[in-house]
Amino acid sequence: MKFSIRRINEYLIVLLLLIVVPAGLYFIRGDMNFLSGNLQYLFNIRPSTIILRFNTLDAIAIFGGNSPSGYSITWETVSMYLNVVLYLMLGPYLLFQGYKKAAKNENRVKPWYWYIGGAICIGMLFIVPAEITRMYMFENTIEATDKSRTKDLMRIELAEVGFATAEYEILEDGVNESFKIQDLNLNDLKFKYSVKSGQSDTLIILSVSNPDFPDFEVKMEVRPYNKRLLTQRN
Amino acid sequence: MERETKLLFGGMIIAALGFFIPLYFGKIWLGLFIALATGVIFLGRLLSLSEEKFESKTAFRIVYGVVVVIVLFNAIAFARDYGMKDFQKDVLLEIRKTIETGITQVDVREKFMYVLGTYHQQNKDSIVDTFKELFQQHLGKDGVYVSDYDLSKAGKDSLVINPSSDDNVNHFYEIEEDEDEIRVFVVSEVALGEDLEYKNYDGQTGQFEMIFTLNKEGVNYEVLN
Repeated sequence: MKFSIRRINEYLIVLLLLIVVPAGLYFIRGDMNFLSGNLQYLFNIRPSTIILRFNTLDAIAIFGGNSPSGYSITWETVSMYLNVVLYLMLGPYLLFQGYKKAAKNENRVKPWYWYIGGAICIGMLFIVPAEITRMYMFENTIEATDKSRTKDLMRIELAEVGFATAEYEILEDGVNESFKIQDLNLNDLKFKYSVKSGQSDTLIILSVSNPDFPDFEVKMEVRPYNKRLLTQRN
Repeated sequence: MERETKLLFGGMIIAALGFFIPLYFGKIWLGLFIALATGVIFLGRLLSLSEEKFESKTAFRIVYGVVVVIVLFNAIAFARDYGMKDFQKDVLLEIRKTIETGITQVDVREKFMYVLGTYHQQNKDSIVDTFKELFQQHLGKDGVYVSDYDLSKAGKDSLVINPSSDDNVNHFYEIEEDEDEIRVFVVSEVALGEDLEYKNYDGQTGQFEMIFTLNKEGVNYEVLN
C-alpha cells in the first residue's frame, strides 16, 4: 500500500487549521484581542449579535430618558454583511475552487486558496457550539430575571401592605396585638406575611417571604404617623 | 468567467442590495434576513454544481449534511436573536417602571398618608388645608406638583448629582375644595403603560401613568395606564 506524503501533509495542515482557527477565533473574541480597532467584527460568526448590541445600547439610552440612536450604516453594520459573504459565500467558494483545481492536476496538489477556504469553513462550523452555549446562557439569564422580578414583586406588594396597615391604623385605630394581615381585606396577596409589634406603640414590623425563595425575606417598619412612613430592609 | 465565480459575484451583489437598502430605512433585521437567505441559496447552488465533482457519493453526502447543519444553526441563531430583540429593552423598562413607582410612592403617597394621619390625629377641619399647611412647597403654578427631586434640584441639593438632569417623570395636581380632595397625577416620559393608545394627562400617548387621591376617607392609589 502506497501512502502519499503530500496528501498526509495536506491533512496535517487541515488538522493544524482545526487547532489554529478556533484558537484564533478565541483570541479575537476574548481578552487577548490582537486585532486593531474593530477588525474583529469581520470574523463574527453570528452577525445578529451586533444588532442585539445596538438594541442593548438603545435600551440603556431609553432607560436614561434619552433618544435611541437606531441603526445606520457604520463599520459594525457593514461587517454584518461581510460576515455573511465571508462564511456563507467566500469560504465555501474558495474551498470548492481549490478542490476543482486540485482535481485537475495529477498529484492533486491543493492550491493556497483551498486552505483559506478550509479555514473559513472550519470557522463557520463554530456556530454550532456557540449556539448551544448560548442556549444554556439564555436559560440562566431568564431564570435570573424571573428571580429578580419576583423579588421586586415581593417588595412592591409589601409596600402595598405597609400603606394599607398605616391607613388601617390611622382610620380605624386597628393595629393592636390581635391584628392580622387578613384584617386589611387585601385581595390576591401572592406572598406570605407576618406581623410583629415594634418597640414603640406606633411601630409595626411586617415581613414578607416566599416559599420559592426560602433564603429571601424583606422586612418593613411601618410608622403610621411619621413623615418617613415606611422603611424597607432586606 | 466560471459559473461558480459568476454565482459568487451575483450572490454578493444581491446580498448587498438586500442588506443595505433595508438598513438604510432602519430595517436591519430584514436586511440581515435577506443577506442570510441569499447566502443559503448560494450554498445550495454551489453544492448542486459541485455534485458531479465529488469522488464518491458518500463524500458528497457528508458535505451535504455539514451544509444542512450550518444552515440549520444559522436559522436557529437568527430566529432566537430576533425573538429576543426587545428582551433587554423590556427588562430595563420594567425596572424603570418599578423604580418610578417606588420613588413616587415615597414622594406622593407617603406625604398623603402623613397628611391623613395629621388630619385625623389633630382633628383638623380640612384635609386640603392640612396638605397646604404641611407641603405647600409641592403645589406649583398651573397645577404642577413639584416633586422631591425637583425641589432638591432647585435647592441645589447635594443629592442631585447632575442639576441639569431631568427625572423624566411629570407630576400634576388637582384640588377639589368642595369634596375636600386632592389628586396627583404622575406620568412617566420613559416607561410605557399597558395601553399604547392611552391619552395621558400631560398630552403624551401610551405612557405609564398613576393617580394618587387623598380625602378624609383615605389615600387611594391607582395605575391608570
